[in-house]
Amino acid sequence: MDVVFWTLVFLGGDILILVLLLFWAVKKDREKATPAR
Amino acid sequence: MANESPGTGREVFGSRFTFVAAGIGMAVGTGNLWRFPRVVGEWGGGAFLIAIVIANLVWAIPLLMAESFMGSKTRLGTIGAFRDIMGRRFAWMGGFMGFVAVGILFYYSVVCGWAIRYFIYAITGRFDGTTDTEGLWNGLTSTPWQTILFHAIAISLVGVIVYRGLKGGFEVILKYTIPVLFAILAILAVRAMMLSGASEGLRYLFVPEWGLLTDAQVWLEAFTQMAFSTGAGWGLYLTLSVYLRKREDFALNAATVCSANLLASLLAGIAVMATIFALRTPEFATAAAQAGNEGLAFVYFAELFGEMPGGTWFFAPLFFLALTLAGLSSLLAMAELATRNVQDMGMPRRRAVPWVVGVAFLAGIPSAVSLDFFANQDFVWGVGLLISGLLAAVAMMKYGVERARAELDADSDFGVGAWWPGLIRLFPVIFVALFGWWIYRAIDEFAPDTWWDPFEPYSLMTMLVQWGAVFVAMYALNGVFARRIVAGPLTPAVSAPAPEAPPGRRDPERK
Repeated sequence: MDVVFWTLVFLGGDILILVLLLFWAVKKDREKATPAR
Repeated sequence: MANESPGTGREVFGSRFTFVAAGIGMAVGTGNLWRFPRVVGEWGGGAFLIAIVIANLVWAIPLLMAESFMGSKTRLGTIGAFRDIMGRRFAWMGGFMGFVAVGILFYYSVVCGWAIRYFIYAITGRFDGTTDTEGLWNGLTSTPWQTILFHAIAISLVGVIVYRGLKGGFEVILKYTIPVLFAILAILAVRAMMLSGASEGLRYLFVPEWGLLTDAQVWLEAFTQMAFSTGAGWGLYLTLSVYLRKREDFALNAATVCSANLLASLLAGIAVMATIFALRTPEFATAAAQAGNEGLAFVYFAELFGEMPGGTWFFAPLFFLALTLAGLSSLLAMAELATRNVQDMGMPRRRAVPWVVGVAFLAGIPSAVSLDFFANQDFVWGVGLLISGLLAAVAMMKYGVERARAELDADSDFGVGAWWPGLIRLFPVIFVALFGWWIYRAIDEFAPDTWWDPFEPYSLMTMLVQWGAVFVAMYALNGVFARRIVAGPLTPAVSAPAPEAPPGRRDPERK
């Protein structure tokens, strides 16, 4: 059980952080691409 | 025009994704596949990973941001960046940083050659369980024509890509190869986790031994692994940032590169260690982890493909393809670093690349024919990278960390607060601890009786002599560097050959 838990913490955690960072980057790029009103 | 940097006419990355992909390609190398799995289990599994994450936060991300700042603001390679950030008397620092990376380029091309050779072994079915993998490895490394030939293939492949420049070369290549590399690593990791008994490998990698967090050596090993793995302080990210779009983010990109680099390491760790633990005894796994990088990948791990369903014809080629792609993507960044510096001195890319490839080929031959020489170069320039990192931090301090912070903050997607100047100022302290530990090991552990001998592969003196030679050469060439490097956006008007640059002094890429 501890193996599953720690695998999820480290592998799952890193994947989650990477996905969030990529989504954040996409969001910011879209904001920059939108002309200021 | 959207693909050119305003003011310089230089090509720029077409999107944030392609820049980040190039950054990840620079960071993810063979070390992710063959060093990380060894050291993470050996130094406490999850506890080591916690130390790695902290090392990324306090060393790699701040340093990558500093490099990105230097490259994107100056639009010049390492030498020009130091000249324009610190002043004309400090161009030699960029020369030192560049030479350390080029010193790695020379022998890293040999490593990529080994990976290509093993990929060919794999697709011809050599890993069927009957091959003596130790004999295969010894046979390859004791056959100079083979190691030289594959070293030549590796550096030539990279040379062709770099010759084509950013838009027609490395941007388009990395845009596709980095996602492919991650897909391969994910397939290998999932396959390994599905093997019966793989959970012991996962335990080895991930379950923390908390007591080790109080062991200073765990932290030093973690910082070393992270410094070698992320490419922070090498000058490679600085070079890629020369082609960064105007007003592009710094902080989020650096964090993404480090996070993806760690993910590649974790996937490779699972693929290697879960397979070894599933198919063999813990004693075999321990022996594999202690066999060194090449021993783990080319001898111990290669032995197991014949024992898993689909191993010979599918998973072995996939693993060595991943090793090849990881190696070549890093080699690409090193070759671009060398080319960028040569180009900055006025030589067009079409002439600079053949020079870089030719010199890299010749200088890599000693590493191709002698594993002792290879080990020496890996040791000397690997530790030398720590000095390069310090130089980048010093450059930021000379420029003014608060001034740099304000400029970084203006373009970053998350706030660059007081944490960044604080970590840059803290950098020399971390450097002294890490660098001092390596010096101590060179005297006490690697060559206790011959540390004074410059011809001993792992001695203190071999490091000091080679670093010293490069320092003297670069310092002596400082004036030449300062004069010959073309002017960039930050070059003071007094140092630019105004009002009109004479022929040969203009940036050959400028339109």
